[in-house]
Amino acid sequence: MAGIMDVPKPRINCSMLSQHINRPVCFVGRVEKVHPTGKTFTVSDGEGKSATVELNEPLEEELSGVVEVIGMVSNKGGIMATTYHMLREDKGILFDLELYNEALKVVHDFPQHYPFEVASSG
Amino acid sequence: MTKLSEGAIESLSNGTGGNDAVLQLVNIRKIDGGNGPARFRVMMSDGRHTLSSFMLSTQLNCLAEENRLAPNCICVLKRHVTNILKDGRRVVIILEIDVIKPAEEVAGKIGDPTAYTEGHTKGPQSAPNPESRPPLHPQNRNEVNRGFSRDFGKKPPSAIPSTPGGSAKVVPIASLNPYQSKWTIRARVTNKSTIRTWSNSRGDGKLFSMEIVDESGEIRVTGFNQEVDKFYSLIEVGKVYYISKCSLKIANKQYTSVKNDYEMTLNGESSVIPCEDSSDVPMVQCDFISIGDLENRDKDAVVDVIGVCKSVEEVTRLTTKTNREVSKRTLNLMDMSGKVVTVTLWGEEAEKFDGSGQPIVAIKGAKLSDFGGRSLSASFSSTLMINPDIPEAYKLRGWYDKEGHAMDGQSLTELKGGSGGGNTNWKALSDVKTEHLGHGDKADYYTCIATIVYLRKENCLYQACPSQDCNKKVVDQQNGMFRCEKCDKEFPNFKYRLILSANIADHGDNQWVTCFQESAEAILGQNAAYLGQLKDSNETAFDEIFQQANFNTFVFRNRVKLETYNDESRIKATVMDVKSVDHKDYSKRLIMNIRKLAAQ
Repeated sequence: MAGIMDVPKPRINCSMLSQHINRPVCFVGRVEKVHPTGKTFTVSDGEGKSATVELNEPLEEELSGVVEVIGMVSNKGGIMATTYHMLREDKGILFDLELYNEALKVVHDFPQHYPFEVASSG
Repeated sequence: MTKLSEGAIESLSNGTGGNDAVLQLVNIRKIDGGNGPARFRVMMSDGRHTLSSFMLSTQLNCLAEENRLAPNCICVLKRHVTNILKDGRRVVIILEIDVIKPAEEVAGKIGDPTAYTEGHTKGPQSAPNPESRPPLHPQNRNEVNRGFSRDFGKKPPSAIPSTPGGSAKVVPIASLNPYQSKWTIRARVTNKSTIRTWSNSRGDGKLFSMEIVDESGEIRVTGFNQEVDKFYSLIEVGKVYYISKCSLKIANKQYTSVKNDYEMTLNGESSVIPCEDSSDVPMVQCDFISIGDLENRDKDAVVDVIGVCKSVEEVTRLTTKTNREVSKRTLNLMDMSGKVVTVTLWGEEAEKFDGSGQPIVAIKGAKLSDFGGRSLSASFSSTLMINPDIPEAYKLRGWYDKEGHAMDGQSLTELKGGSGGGNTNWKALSDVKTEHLGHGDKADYYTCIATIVYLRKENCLYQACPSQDCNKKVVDQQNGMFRCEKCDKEFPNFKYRLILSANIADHGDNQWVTCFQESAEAILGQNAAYLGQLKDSNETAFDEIFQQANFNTFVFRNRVKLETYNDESRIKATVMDVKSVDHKDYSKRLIMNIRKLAAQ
């Protein structure tokens, strides 16, 4: 488990969560709702579908905009986050989640050209 | 479960059939008709009978070609015409049809229909009937059924306009074909050419052509010599006429954008009679496509567009290859897609055009060119309408006055000097070589995304004439004066200008390019004057700028041309424009290209 940062983490959207249960993933989405406890929040992907992100520690900052979450997919299809990273949109360049989603689909549709997962079996 | 209109086949085949019959398509077959367009013959069933003598009118061919009309699908016959062939058989021409249940949703053949033959039914048609025999002279036997169920009882048949002579019924343009001669159409003239003359070894003559429409379609009409004298002055654009007894032939699509497989020629027997009550005849039939969609159309496609004339250029005159002088004017049209396209008008249209007040301009039959991205040309067969009285125009006006005027509008046409266009000639550097760009008579232009891998800082600056528009290199007179040969003057000063050689690379190849002033400044991120100053004062800082500029990625628009010096030919590439990479745009294009490649 210590090695989540060292293993490949396929980028996925909500519809791919169920195929990645118990596997490390990278999820980029827009923060929708932060739970009052600060331990979970929901994110929506480029297709408008939502997923729940669970944290080990409550959030220490206000979360908004687009985040990249790295974690394991739980049995329930949530994401147990190891770490997250807010993508700043304040420089006037908006992150286009829909476009990101299109790119993501290309990666998954043509795995022969994007062999990122080859090493992940180990 | 969809219910078929049982009995409809029988009434269709004896000519009494109404519209909106629900039928099942049993079979569809393509008949290749020589040089004409393909026709589709269709077999339909009403659950009781089948009839194979349905023909799809050619404007509906797309339904068959796209497989929407496939065996087993259920359709509503919205509009049809029954024609009687010379041997007495009836053919039902389908003018409008809706598929209400696609073939894949239908389990199979409904009922157990048997082939319909006239003999099997009782009634006036069953016995040998002299009336249904081919007359010596083909008579007009078009039974036009339109909006039958809707209009039934509301409108007495007398409301159908009949010709002044009363000899033949008015038929829709869509039902015209070369095999019938007795018909009259009632149509509005939407475009009339000037009189053109020709002169060749076989003699000389004159001709004019016009385009006419009714609610069913449009057709082109041409008149020669005597017919020019007889009809040209009579016919006014915008007016409605009864037209009969013209010859029909397969249209030569090369000369026309009119959406009809046939065209007609006025002959000695033709009659053209003005029609007073014309309010129900449509003005012009346009099939406007969004300016944004022009990018997806093929080069040389003929399209109808409508847009706000955002700006207009002055008339220019140029001489054609055949030594004829023509006027030319370009204007920029924008529509609700927010895209702008440049349209070129020629001749009289160019001279007369008044773009003041940003009018709505509709062009029917403009030709799409890929010159500088995408642009349109309005040729002599196009119809130009300023502020036309059509709903699209009012909608556009409303939109433009409310919000459109504030929009910048993204041009599909590249401006001179090359700011971004919608459909740019994107190339990888290796493509430029494999496709031998620049080897033709004219220079080629392409756009690429590439990274600076080397900048030659030696001789990148030169001392140029300080006069406003002269950039000629000056000669240092070594006495504090600098001489410009071009201006034939000496100056106490000069200005620095850039001429920078750069090596740019992408994933597949690299290329030496020459960048002049503006593009070099954009790459180096400093202006020429400052660079000149640094070069003379602080060489380290000057070098630093070149180091910093390495490995930056830009969008380059380049011009390539094979040039020969001292019997040695090589490709010279000049940067016309440098822009920073719009990553969103770039990603979109990459995804689109990947999808396109995958689909091959």
